[in-house]
Amino acid sequence: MAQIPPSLQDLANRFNQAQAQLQSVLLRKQQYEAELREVEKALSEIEKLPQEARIYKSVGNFLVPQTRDAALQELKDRKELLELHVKTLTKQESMLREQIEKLKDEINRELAKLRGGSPEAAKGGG
Amino acid sequence: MSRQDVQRLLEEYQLIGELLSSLQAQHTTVAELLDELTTALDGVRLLKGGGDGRLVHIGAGLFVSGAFDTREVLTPIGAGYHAFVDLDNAERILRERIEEYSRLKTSLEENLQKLAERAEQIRQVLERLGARNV
Repeated sequence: MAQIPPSLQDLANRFNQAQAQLQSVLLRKQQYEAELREVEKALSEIEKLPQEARIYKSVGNFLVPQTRDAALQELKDRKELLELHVKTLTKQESMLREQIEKLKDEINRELAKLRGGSPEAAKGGG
Repeated sequence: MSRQDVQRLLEEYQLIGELLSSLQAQHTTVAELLDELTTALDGVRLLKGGGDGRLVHIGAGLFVSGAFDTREVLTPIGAGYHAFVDLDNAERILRERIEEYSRLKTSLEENLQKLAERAEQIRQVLERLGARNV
Protein backbone atom coordinates (compact mmCIF):
# COMPACT_ATOMS: atom_id res chain seq x y z
CA MET A 1 0.00 0.00 0.00
CA ALA A 2 1.21 3.50 -0.86
CA GLN A 3 2.42 5.87 1.85
CA ILE A 4 -0.07 8.48 3.06
CA PRO A 5 1.21 11.95 2.06
CA PRO A 6 2.23 14.10 5.06
CA SER A 7 -0.39 16.74 4.21
CA LEU A 8 -3.17 14.14 4.33
CA GLN A 9 -1.74 12.60 7.48
CA ASP A 10 -1.72 16.04 9.08
CA LEU A 11 -5.36 16.59 8.09
CA ALA A 12 -6.32 13.18 9.45
CA ASN A 13 -4.55 13.96 12.74
CA ARG A 14 -6.34 17.30 13.01
CA PHE A 15 -9.63 15.60 12.20
CA ASN A 16 -9.12 12.98 14.93
CA GLN A 17 -8.10 15.66 17.40
CA ALA A 18 -11.20 17.73 16.64
CA GLN A 19 -13.41 14.64 16.97
CA ALA A 20 -11.89 13.86 20.38
CA GLN A 21 -12.39 17.48 21.47
CA LEU A 22 -16.02 17.34 20.33
CA GLN A 23 -16.61 14.15 22.33
CA SER A 24 -15.13 15.77 25.41
CA VAL A 25 -17.24 18.93 24.95
CA LEU A 26 -20.40 16.87 24.44
CA LEU A 27 -19.69 14.83 27.56
CA ARG A 28 -19.15 17.95 29.70
CA LYS A 29 -22.26 19.59 28.22
CA GLN A 30 -24.29 16.50 29.03
CA GLN A 31 -23.03 16.57 32.63
CA TYR A 32 -23.87 20.25 33.06
CA GLU A 33 -27.30 19.76 31.49
CA ALA A 34 -28.05 16.89 33.87
CA GLU A 35 -26.98 19.05 36.83
CA LEU A 36 -29.08 21.92 35.51
CA ARG A 37 -32.17 19.69 35.33
CA GLU A 38 -31.53 18.61 38.92
CA VAL A 39 -31.20 22.23 40.09
CA GLU A 40 -34.37 23.23 38.23
CA LYS A 41 -36.25 20.36 39.83
CA ALA A 42 -35.06 21.37 43.32
CA LEU A 43 -35.99 24.99 42.61
CA SER A 44 -39.47 24.03 41.50
CA GLU A 45 -40.00 21.90 44.64
CA ILE A 46 -38.76 24.63 46.98
CA GLU A 47 -40.97 27.22 45.27
CA LYS A 48 -43.98 25.05 46.14
CA LEU A 49 -43.06 25.04 49.85
CA PRO A 50 -44.31 27.62 52.36
CA GLN A 51 -41.97 30.33 53.68
CA GLU A 52 -41.51 28.55 57.03
CA ALA A 53 -40.66 25.20 55.40
CA ARG A 54 -37.85 23.20 56.97
CA ILE A 55 -35.17 22.83 54.32
CA TYR A 56 -31.77 21.20 54.70
CA LYS A 57 -28.68 21.25 52.55
CA SER A 58 -26.52 18.17 52.33
CA VAL A 59 -22.90 18.87 53.31
CA GLY A 60 -20.91 15.66 53.42
CA ASN A 61 -22.54 13.52 56.11
CA PHE A 62 -24.45 16.44 57.56
CA LEU A 63 -27.76 18.02 56.76
CA VAL A 64 -27.52 21.72 57.50
CA PRO A 65 -30.74 23.71 57.98
CA GLN A 66 -31.26 26.52 55.51
CA THR A 67 -33.98 29.09 55.03
CA ARG A 68 -36.21 28.87 52.00
CA ASP A 69 -34.89 32.18 50.66
CA ALA A 70 -31.24 31.19 51.08
CA ALA A 71 -31.85 27.85 49.36
CA LEU A 72 -33.69 29.57 46.50
CA GLN A 73 -30.93 32.14 46.06
CA GLU A 74 -28.19 29.53 46.07
CA LEU A 75 -30.00 27.37 43.55
CA LYS A 76 -30.74 30.34 41.29
CA ASP A 77 -27.04 31.28 41.34
CA ARG A 78 -26.09 27.71 40.51
CA LYS A 79 -28.65 27.64 37.71
CA GLU A 80 -27.23 30.84 36.23
CA LEU A 81 -23.68 29.47 36.34
CA LEU A 82 -24.72 26.15 34.82
CA GLU A 83 -26.63 27.87 32.02
CA LEU A 84 -23.52 29.89 31.24
CA HIS A 85 -21.41 26.72 31.10
CA VAL A 86 -23.94 25.05 28.78
CA LYS A 87 -24.02 28.13 26.54
CA THR A 88 -20.22 28.25 26.31
CA LEU A 89 -20.02 24.55 25.55
CA THR A 90 -22.77 24.83 22.91
CA LYS A 91 -20.71 27.51 21.16
CA GLN A 92 -17.60 25.31 21.36
CA GLU A 93 -19.64 22.39 20.02
CA SER A 94 -20.83 24.28 16.95
CA MET A 95 -17.33 25.62 16.27
CA LEU A 96 -15.88 22.12 16.46
CA ARG A 97 -18.61 20.69 14.23
CA GLU A 98 -17.85 23.38 11.68
CA GLN A 99 -14.12 22.65 11.93
CA ILE A 100 -14.77 18.92 11.50
CA GLU A 101 -16.88 19.52 8.40
CA LYS A 102 -14.15 21.69 6.87
CA LEU A 103 -11.50 19.09 7.64
CA LYS A 104 -13.70 16.39 6.13
CA ASP A 105 -13.98 18.42 2.91
CA GLU A 106 -10.23 19.01 2.83
CA ILE A 107 -9.55 15.31 3.36
CA ASN A 108 -11.95 14.42 0.57
CA ARG A 109 -10.24 16.91 -1.75
CA GLU A 110 -6.81 15.46 -0.91
CA LEU A 111 -8.10 11.93 -1.46
CA ALA A 112 -9.58 12.96 -4.80
CA LYS A 113 -6.27 14.48 -5.83
CA LEU A 114 -4.52 11.23 -4.92
CA ARG A 115 -6.98 9.17 -6.90
CA GLY A 116 -6.97 11.67 -9.70
CA GLY A 117 -10.74 11.99 -9.57
CA SER A 118 -13.35 14.43 -8.34
CA PRO A 119 -14.01 15.09 -4.61
CA GLU A 120 -17.39 13.42 -5.08
CA ALA A 121 -15.64 10.21 -6.07
CA ALA A 122 -13.53 10.40 -2.91
CA LYS A 123 -16.70 10.66 -0.80
CA GLY A 124 -17.80 7.41 -2.34
CA GLY A 125 -20.96 9.07 -3.56
CA GLY A 126 -20.69 8.21 -7.26
CA MET B 1 -11.72 -8.37 3.53
CA SER B 2 -8.30 -6.82 4.03
CA ARG B 3 -6.10 -7.25 7.08
CA GLN B 4 -6.86 -3.63 7.99
CA ASP B 5 -10.61 -4.31 7.89
CA VAL B 6 -10.16 -7.25 10.26
CA GLN B 7 -8.05 -5.08 12.56
CA ARG B 8 -10.77 -2.41 12.55
CA LEU B 9 -13.45 -4.99 13.37
CA LEU B 10 -11.35 -6.34 16.24
CA GLU B 11 -10.90 -2.83 17.60
CA GLU B 12 -14.63 -2.15 17.30
CA TYR B 13 -15.38 -5.46 19.03
CA GLN B 14 -13.10 -4.54 21.93
CA LEU B 15 -14.59 -1.05 22.18
CA ILE B 16 -18.13 -2.46 22.21
CA GLY B 17 -17.06 -4.88 24.95
CA GLU B 18 -15.86 -1.97 27.08
CA LEU B 19 -19.03 0.02 26.39
CA LEU B 20 -21.18 -2.98 27.28
CA SER B 21 -19.39 -3.37 30.63
CA SER B 22 -19.83 0.29 31.40
CA LEU B 23 -23.53 0.28 30.44
CA GLN B 24 -24.16 -2.89 32.42
CA ALA B 25 -22.61 -1.26 35.50
CA GLN B 26 -24.87 1.78 34.99
CA HIS B 27 -27.87 -0.49 34.53
CA THR B 28 -27.13 -2.28 37.83
CA THR B 29 -26.84 1.06 39.66
CA VAL B 30 -30.11 2.34 38.17
CA ALA B 31 -31.90 -0.94 39.00
CA GLU B 32 -30.67 -0.71 42.62
CA LEU B 33 -31.83 2.90 42.85
CA LEU B 34 -35.23 1.92 41.50
CA ASP B 35 -35.53 -0.83 44.13
CA GLU B 36 -34.65 1.64 46.85
CA LEU B 37 -37.14 4.23 45.56
CA THR B 38 -39.88 1.62 45.31
CA THR B 39 -39.22 0.54 48.91
CA ALA B 40 -39.39 4.17 50.02
CA LEU B 41 -42.64 4.66 48.10
CA ASP B 42 -44.14 1.59 49.81
CA GLY B 43 -43.04 3.06 53.16
CA VAL B 44 -44.68 6.42 52.44
CA ARG B 45 -47.90 4.71 51.34
CA LEU B 46 -47.91 2.66 54.57
CA LEU B 47 -47.46 5.84 56.60
CA LYS B 48 -50.34 7.42 54.71
CA GLY B 49 -52.50 4.43 55.49
CA GLY B 50 -52.12 4.95 59.25
CA GLY B 51 -53.16 2.12 61.56
CA ASP B 52 -51.68 0.47 64.63
CA GLY B 53 -49.49 -2.52 65.20
CA ARG B 54 -46.67 -1.47 62.89
CA LEU B 55 -43.32 -3.17 63.31
CA VAL B 56 -40.05 -1.60 62.27
CA HIS B 57 -37.07 -3.62 61.12
CA ILE B 58 -33.93 -2.79 63.08
CA GLY B 59 -31.67 -5.28 61.30
CA ALA B 60 -30.93 -9.02 61.31
CA GLY B 61 -34.63 -9.83 61.21
CA LEU B 62 -35.43 -8.01 64.47
CA PHE B 63 -38.51 -5.79 64.64
CA VAL B 64 -39.79 -3.32 67.23
CA SER B 65 -43.26 -1.96 67.38
CA GLY B 66 -43.44 1.58 66.14
CA ALA B 67 -46.04 4.30 66.24
CA PHE B 68 -45.82 7.15 63.77
CA ASP B 69 -47.42 10.45 64.45
CA THR B 70 -45.57 12.18 61.64
CA ARG B 71 -47.42 13.49 58.60
CA GLU B 72 -44.24 14.85 57.03
CA VAL B 73 -41.06 13.16 55.85
CA LEU B 74 -37.66 14.63 55.11
CA THR B 75 -37.40 14.07 51.36
CA PRO B 76 -34.54 14.60 48.93
CA ILE B 77 -35.72 17.21 46.43
CA GLY B 78 -32.61 17.29 44.23
CA ALA B 79 -29.29 19.15 43.97
CA GLY B 80 -28.30 18.12 47.51
CA TYR B 81 -31.37 19.61 49.19
CA HIS B 82 -33.87 17.95 51.51
CA ALA B 83 -37.15 19.33 52.78
CA PHE B 84 -39.93 18.20 55.08
CA VAL B 85 -42.89 17.63 52.80
CA ASP B 86 -46.29 16.07 53.50
CA LEU B 87 -46.86 12.44 52.61
CA ASP B 88 -48.76 13.20 49.40
CA ASN B 89 -45.93 15.33 48.06
CA ALA B 90 -43.32 12.82 49.20
CA GLU B 91 -45.23 10.16 47.27
CA ARG B 92 -45.40 12.40 44.18
CA ILE B 93 -41.66 13.19 44.32
CA LEU B 94 -40.83 9.49 44.66
CA ARG B 95 -43.16 8.55 41.82
CA GLU B 96 -41.54 11.16 39.56
CA ARG B 97 -38.07 9.81 40.42
CA ILE B 98 -39.23 6.27 39.74
CA GLU B 99 -40.59 7.31 36.33
CA GLU B 100 -37.37 9.13 35.51
CA TYR B 101 -35.16 6.17 36.47
CA SER B 102 -37.48 3.71 34.71
CA ARG B 103 -37.08 5.69 31.49
CA LEU B 104 -33.31 5.69 31.98
CA LYS B 105 -33.33 1.94 32.66
CA THR B 106 -35.34 1.28 29.48
CA SER B 107 -33.01 3.45 27.43
CA LEU B 108 -29.96 1.64 28.86
CA GLU B 109 -31.56 -1.71 28.05
CA GLU B 110 -32.20 -0.62 24.46
CA ASN B 111 -28.58 0.50 24.07
CA LEU B 112 -27.32 -2.71 25.65
CA GLN B 113 -29.43 -4.71 23.22
CA LYS B 114 -28.16 -2.78 20.18
CA LEU B 115 -24.53 -3.09 21.27
CA ALA B 116 -24.89 -6.79 22.05
CA GLU B 117 -26.36 -7.36 18.58
CA ARG B 118 -23.49 -5.46 16.92
CA ALA B 119 -20.93 -7.41 18.99
CA GLU B 120 -22.57 -10.66 17.93
CA GLN B 121 -22.48 -9.62 14.25
CA ILE B 122 -18.76 -8.81 14.49
CA ARG B 123 -18.04 -12.02 16.38
CA GLN B 124 -19.73 -14.05 13.65
CA VAL B 125 -17.80 -12.26 10.89
CA LEU B 126 -14.52 -12.75 12.71
CA GLU B 127 -15.32 -16.39 13.37
CA ARG B 128 -16.07 -16.95 9.71
CA LEU B 129 -12.72 -15.38 8.89
CA GLY B 130 -11.02 -17.77 11.26
CA ALA B 131 -10.05 -15.21 13.89
CA ARG B 132 -11.21 -17.44 16.73
CA ASN B 133 -9.26 -15.85 19.55
CA VAL B 134 -11.73 -13.00 20.00
